[in-house]
Amino acid sequence: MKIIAVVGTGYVGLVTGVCLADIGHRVTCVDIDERKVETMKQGVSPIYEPGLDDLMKKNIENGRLAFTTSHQEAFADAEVIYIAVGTPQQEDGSANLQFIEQAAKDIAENIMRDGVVVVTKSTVPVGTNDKVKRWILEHLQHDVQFDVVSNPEFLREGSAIYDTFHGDRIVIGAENDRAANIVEELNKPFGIPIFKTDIRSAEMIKYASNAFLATKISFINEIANISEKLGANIEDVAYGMGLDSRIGSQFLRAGIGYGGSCFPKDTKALVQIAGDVEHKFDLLEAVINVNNKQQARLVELALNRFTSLRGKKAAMLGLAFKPNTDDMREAASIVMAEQLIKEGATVVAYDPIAIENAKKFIGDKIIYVETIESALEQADVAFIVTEWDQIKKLPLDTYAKLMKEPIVFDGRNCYDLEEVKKHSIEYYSIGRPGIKN
Amino acid sequence: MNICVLGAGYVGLTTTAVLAELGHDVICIDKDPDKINQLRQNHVPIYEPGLAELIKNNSNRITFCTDSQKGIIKSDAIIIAVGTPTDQDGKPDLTYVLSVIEELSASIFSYKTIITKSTVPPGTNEMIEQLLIKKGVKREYFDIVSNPEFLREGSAVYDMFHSDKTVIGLKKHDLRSLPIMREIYNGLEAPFIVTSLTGAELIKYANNAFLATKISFINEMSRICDAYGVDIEEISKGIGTDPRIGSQFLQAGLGYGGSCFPKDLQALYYAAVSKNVTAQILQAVQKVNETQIDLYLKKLQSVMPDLRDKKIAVLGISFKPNTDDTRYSRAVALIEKLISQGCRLSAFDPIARLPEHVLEKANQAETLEESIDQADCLILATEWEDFIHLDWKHVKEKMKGNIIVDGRNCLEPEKLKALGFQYIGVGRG
Ligand SMILES: NC(=O)c1ccc[n+]([C@@H]2O[C@H](COP(=O)([O-])OP(=O)(O)OC[C@H]3O[C@@H](n4cnc5c(N)ncnc54)[C@H](O)[C@@H]3O)[C@@H](O)[C@H]2O)c1
Ligand SMILES: NC(=O)c1ccc[n+]([C@@H]2O[C@H](COP(=O)([O-])OP(=O)(O)OC[C@H]3O[C@@H](n4cnc5c(N)ncnc54)[C@H](O)[C@@H]3O)[C@@H](O)[C@H]2O)c1
Repeated sequence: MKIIAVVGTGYVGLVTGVCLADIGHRVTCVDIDERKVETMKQGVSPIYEPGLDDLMKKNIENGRLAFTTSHQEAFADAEVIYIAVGTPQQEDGSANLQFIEQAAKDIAENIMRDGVVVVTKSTVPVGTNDKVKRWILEHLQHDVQFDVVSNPEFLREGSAIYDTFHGDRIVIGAENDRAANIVEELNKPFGIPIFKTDIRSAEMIKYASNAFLATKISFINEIANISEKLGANIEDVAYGMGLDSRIGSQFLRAGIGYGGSCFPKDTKALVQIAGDVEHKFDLLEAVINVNNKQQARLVELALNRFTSLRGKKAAMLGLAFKPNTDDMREAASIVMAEQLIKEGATVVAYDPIAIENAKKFIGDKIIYVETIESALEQADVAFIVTEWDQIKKLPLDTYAKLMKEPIVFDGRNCYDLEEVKKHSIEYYSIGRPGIKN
Repeated sequence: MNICVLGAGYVGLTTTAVLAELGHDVICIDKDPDKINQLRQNHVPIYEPGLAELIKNNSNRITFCTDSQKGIIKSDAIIIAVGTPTDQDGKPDLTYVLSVIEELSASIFSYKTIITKSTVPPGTNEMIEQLLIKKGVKREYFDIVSNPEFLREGSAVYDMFHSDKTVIGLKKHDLRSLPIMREIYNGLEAPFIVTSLTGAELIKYANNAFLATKISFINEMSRICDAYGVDIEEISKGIGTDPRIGSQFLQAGLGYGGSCFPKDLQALYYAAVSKNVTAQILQAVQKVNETQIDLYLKKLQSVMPDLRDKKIAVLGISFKPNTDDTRYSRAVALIEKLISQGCRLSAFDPIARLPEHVLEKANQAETLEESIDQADCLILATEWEDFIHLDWKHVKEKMKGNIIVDGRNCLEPEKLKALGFQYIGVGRG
């Protein structure tokens, strides 16, 4: 059992804190956001993440999990401190390290015991952990020894708890064995393979893996655009490729691109990291370009179909950047809403969870509704943006029943084409032939 | 079943041997009389582990000949396995496929299943069908099937027996071909993926294009790692454990070559452009691969600024280990680059031979000893197993200089440095 503090209670920090408590450690989570901390103290999670609330309550009750706004309180007897604050992107795409620097200062001012291990979970550019070490040294109040460890996080929003217990690997980048072993030891109960390496490699592994996954998505989207023009079906192509074990079937779903708080920012940051050493990362730039175009693809298809969308009622099904999350950062829906408004359409949007967050990103330019049915009611055109289960499983005849004319643009290839052919619907998707019944 | 295979190259010969092993009677045709003569005398003109034995064991079911008409008339199914190279500007050159169509149209007088195994651009199978009809073949006398091949040279026989998939592209209303294809491959376990003709053509290209993307991705990462002093091998290990990524094809090095990847990427790119789709990723992947050799050259020049008259030993000529194929080999491209810099080249490979045009300017050493003797620098260009486990102490003694360029990141830098070598890899900290 270790005494642990976690700085920052966003998706990563909160999930990490709760899960570490659940495997037996004593965890205090600290956040500067007072409202958030108040909510969490009640056992309520400020973010939507399946299973999180239950696990929080359970561990608050058994006394292993606490929340505070006081760094002093959290760090006073901590043996291990996790940094999980945000690292948003700046104008030029590079990572903004101001929250990391602040967290480092907070740590420096409050640690009192020898041998504290400071673990960076946030995604940070190569070399950042060295800076963290320097920042802490510069502001250290008490004469104590400490180590820094890079331990990048690979959880996915929407299945964060599951991923923490069933990840593929835990990457530990350390400057000495002592620190590496402490972090390895405390992670052992998760039963996940541990990969120990040096600090810089660990930092790079995180960017490289997100960049590769983004590459896979943009690759299949590029092939989808080719398939569409050649009259082939991208689902068949992806399936065929995916059977090759050197490729793998995951992340080969054609659609309107990736979004979220990680892929867009991490790919841009890596381009910047490369740029800093005078390397133009051509491949990754292409990946980013393809994704930007892809997010605009569905409305583009609609404009080909309608010539003008002025005065049309457009239903948007799904707003979150992916299903099972309320995260709206870099969601395709933001780009699409802008496009549709510009074309003069009235947009009515449905999402089971993300509406409150969506308002912060899209504002009152569009109408938000609580049910799929009210979004589709008398709509001229429907766009499927996020493949939530309730959207994927919507019976195909609903469109004809509710819409003025059942014209559907599916950005997530939710329906099987053979199924679609059985219904009176006009249906367009990504990288597959259009259907007009 | 009686099957005729057109083309006795890597794909055609392997197909012939495997189908005979599955119990079919196979006539394998090549228009190169020399090749056919060798095959008739039990000599397999290409190097491919296990292939010669398989052909020998099934010789009672295999006939080699140059007369395509004879083969076609006698067979129920015709498999096209001729080459499909690219021309100067990357456009697929379909000359051989067109000559096959010519031969087919003169020889079809009863129902045949025509199966295209060669890698052909999207739309080609549709075109073959149209051309056959135009040339007077009765529509009811044939069906056309796209059945791209995924074997890898160096393990072609194994791959055909253990393929991860059999891709079958069919015309929309073709109900006849699928059972025939099942009969042909009866005995192999790979799942069938049935799609349209164009879908099957695209699967082949997308498959290779993705693997090439993986290679270029890791090569580009390795350049960044170089600048940050990070070991790319750690990155490959760290990301490869993610099943959505997978550990294979994440080896940094000189880049991809061979008869498939470069040409298939070009062909796919070309197919996209001809439909007004800009395939940016494919473009970037190719650019990275093309510039990878320059990167190594630069590294070499940073420790040996004047390359003139230096003796350079290049280990490996084939485009990858366990094959004699040198088409688009990175090793050969590197050798040519070095020659243009005025180096004296001595290349060694266990099996592969330098192409004619290079042989004029470079020496093909008959033994490894000859190649490394008094060399100023050694470049490992193809990771044959033998090269990885050389007695490096001995190598050091034989060489004049001490520079090792590891073009495949397959050697152990620490060990070599301890022996007094100056080690150059890519992205190795
Ligand atoms: N969200 C994901 O899916 C995911 C996955 C893997 C890695 N990451 C990385 O993890 C990091 C965190 O991501 P997130 O999505 O959880 O961020 P987030 O924005 O949701 O949360 C960050 C939290 O840190 C708090 N904070 C900021 N400065 C602080 C300080 N000095 N002291 C205490 N609290 C402070 C903020 O109030 C906020 O609650 C980022 O680097 C991100 O790239 C995220
Ligand atoms: N080599 C591979 O690893 C591999 C893997 C998968 C797919 N493919 C594809 O399979 C096809 C064949 O490749 P390969 O490497 O076997 O080619 P190859 O060049 O080794 O062999 C082609 C053979 O076809 C013969 N030929 C040409 N025209 C002919 C005709 N009209 N009649 C009879 N024979 C004729 C040539 O003489 C030659 O022997 C290509 O489209 C290639 O892209 C190759």
